[in-house]
Amino acid sequence: MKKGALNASTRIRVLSACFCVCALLLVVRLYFVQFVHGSDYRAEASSQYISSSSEDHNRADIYFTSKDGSFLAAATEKNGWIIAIKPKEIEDPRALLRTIQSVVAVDEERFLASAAKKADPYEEVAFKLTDTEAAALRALKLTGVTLVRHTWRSYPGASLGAHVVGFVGYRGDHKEGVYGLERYWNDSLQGNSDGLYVNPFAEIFANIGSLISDPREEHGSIITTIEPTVQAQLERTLEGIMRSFTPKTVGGIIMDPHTGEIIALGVVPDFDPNTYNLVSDPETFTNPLVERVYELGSIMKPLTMAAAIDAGAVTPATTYNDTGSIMRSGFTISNFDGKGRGVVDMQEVLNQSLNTGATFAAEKMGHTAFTKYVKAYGLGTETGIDLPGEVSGKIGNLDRGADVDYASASFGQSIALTPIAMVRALASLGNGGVLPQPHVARAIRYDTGVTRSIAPVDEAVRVLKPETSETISGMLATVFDKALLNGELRQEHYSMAAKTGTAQIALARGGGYYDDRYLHSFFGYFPAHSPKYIIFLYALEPHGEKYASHTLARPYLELAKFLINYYNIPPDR
Amino acid sequence: MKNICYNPTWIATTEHPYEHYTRSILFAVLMLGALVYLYFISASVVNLMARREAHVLSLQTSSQVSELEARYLALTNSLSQEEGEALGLRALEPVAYVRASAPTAFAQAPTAF
Repeated sequence: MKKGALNASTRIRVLSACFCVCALLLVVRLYFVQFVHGSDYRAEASSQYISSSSEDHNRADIYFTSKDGSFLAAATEKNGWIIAIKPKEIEDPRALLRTIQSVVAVDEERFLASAAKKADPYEEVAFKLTDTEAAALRALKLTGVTLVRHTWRSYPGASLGAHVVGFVGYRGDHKEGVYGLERYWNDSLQGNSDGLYVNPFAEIFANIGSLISDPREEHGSIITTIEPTVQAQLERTLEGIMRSFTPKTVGGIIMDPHTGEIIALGVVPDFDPNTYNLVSDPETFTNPLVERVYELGSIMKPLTMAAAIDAGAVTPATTYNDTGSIMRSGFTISNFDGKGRGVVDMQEVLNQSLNTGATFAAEKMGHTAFTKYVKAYGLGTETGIDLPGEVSGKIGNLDRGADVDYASASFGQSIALTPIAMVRALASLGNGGVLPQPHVARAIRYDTGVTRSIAPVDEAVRVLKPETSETISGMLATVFDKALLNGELRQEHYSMAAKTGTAQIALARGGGYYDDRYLHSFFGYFPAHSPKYIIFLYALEPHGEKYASHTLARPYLELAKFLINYYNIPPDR
Repeated sequence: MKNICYNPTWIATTEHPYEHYTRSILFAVLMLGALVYLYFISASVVNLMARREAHVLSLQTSSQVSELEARYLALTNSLSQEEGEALGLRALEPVAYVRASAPTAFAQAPTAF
C-alpha cells in the first residue's frame, strides 16, 4: 500500500513539474519580447502603423469598361504616407522643417503652426508621400517625426465621368460615398476592417453566400457600362457646346436602346473628384440628367405621334388644317413662328415641329388614351437607374383635365420630365416598342475574383407595337434626311432618326414663360430601323441661337459619326 | 470471512488495471493536441503576417496601376486629329461599301505530309 501511495505522489509531482516548466518557458519568452526586443518592436510598429479606419482602406474599386472588354479604374485606392510630428520632442522646428523640405515639399505655415502645439502628441503636416519619399525621410532618422501609412480615394480619370462616379466625402464625421455610384453602391464598395483576416474556411462559405444574396449587401468592385473613350468624346462635345453657346448647363446621354446600358453620361460644368473641396458651388455635384426635371419641348412630339399611331387614331398620311394657332381653355397654342401651313399630314407635323399638329394628334386619340400612353412611357415615374437622387417627372397636369394642359403636354410643355426618363421613352421608338431599363453598373466583382452580373433582368415593358416603332422610326428618319437644317446633315449610308426640341422656360414666379430663354434638346438613334445607340443632348439657356437645330444638331452628328467609326457600325443603306 | 471496510485511500493507492494504458493514451493525446495547437497557431501567425504583407503590396501595386491609368487617360484624351495627321494617319477616303453574298475568306487546314 505504501508503494501505491509513493507512485501517486510521484505522478502528481511529475505533473506539477511539467506545468512549472511550461510556465517558466512562457515567462522567459515574455522577458525576451518585452525587455530584450521591446524597443525594436515599438519602433517597427510606429513606422508600420496602418490606419484602423475601415472607411479609408479596403474600399472596392469602380471600373469603366473599354470596348475590348478590359477594365479601367474610375475610382480606386491609392497608398502613401503621412508625415506626423510629435511637437514636444522637437527642439528646433525650423531646422527640422528645412531638413524635411530637402526630401519633400511641406507647407511651412502649417508645419510651424503644428510644431508650436507642444501639448499635442500628434500632428499631421504632410500628406500623400510616395514610398520613395518616405524611405528617404525614414533614412534620416529624425527625432519627433513619424511616418504613418495612409490610403485615400483616387480618381485616375479626373473629371471623366465625374457625375456618374461621384466621390467619397465626409458625411458628419465619417467618410462615405456622397454622390454618384460611390453613394449608390456605398454599402458594396465600403470594406470592413475585419475583412482582411477572415478565416479561410469562413471565406469559402462567405463566397457561396455571395452568389445567392443581394449584391448590394456584398463587398465588391463595381464594373460600369461606361466606355471611357466614348465618355471622353461626349465630354469634349459638351465642352464644345459650352464654349460656343455658353448655356447654364449642357448634358448628354449615349445609351444602347435595347439593353438600357449607358455607355456615356456627362454634364458640363463638371468637376474633378480628386479636388472636390475646391468646388465652390455644390450644385455642380448634382446630376441634372437624373435629379432635375425640365419641360423638354418638341422632342415629346415623336412620343405623342407614336402613341396616336399605336392607338389607331392617326397614320402618317392623316391630314389636318394647320391655321398657325388654336385656342384651348382660353389660352392660345401656336406654332413656333405663329404661321399656318394649311392642310398638312403627320409627317409634316414632325418635319416642321408643329405644335398645332401635335395637339391634333393628342386630341384625335383622346385625352384618356394620351394620358395612358404618357404614363406607359414611364414619364411620371423613376426609371430606377442605379444613380442616387433620381426624381420622378411631373405630369400631374394631365390629371387636372384642362384642354390646354393636354395640348401643351403633346409638345412637351406643362409637363416636366427628367432627361433619363425621356431617353428611356424615346428608346422605345426605335427598339420595337419596349421600355429598356437604363443602368450604369453592369457587374460586381468580389474579392475572390468571382464576377456577378447585376444588370436588370426584369422583362421589358411593352409600350408600342413593333409596327408602330417601325413607322415612327421611318418618319423620324425623314425628319433627319429632309427637314433638319434642310437635309444638310443627311448621311448617304446611314439612316438616322432624330428630332429637335426648343422649349420655353417657365417664369420662376409662375404664370407664363420667358420670351428669351429656352431649353434646347436633341435626340437621335441610328441606324433608324435597327438602332445601335441613342444619343440625347440638352442645353439649358444657350445664347446666340434660338433653335436647337443650330446648337445641338451638328454636335449630335459628330458623336454619331464617332460611334460609327469606333464601333465599326455597318451601313444600312 | 473477510470483513472488507471502506478505506478512503484505497482509490489513491490502488491502480486500476487499465489506468496505465489510459494514462499513456491520454498523455499521447494531450501531446498530440499540444503539437497540433502549436502548429495551427504558428501557421495562423504566419498566414496573418503574410496576408498583411500581401495587402500592403497589393495597395502599393494598386497605387502604381492607378498612376499609370491616370497617365494613360490623360495621354489618350490629349490626342487630337492634328496629332494623328502629323503621325501620317489619314481619314479613309474614298470609302466603298460592297454587299458580299458569299463568304469572303476561309482558312484552309494544312495538308499533312
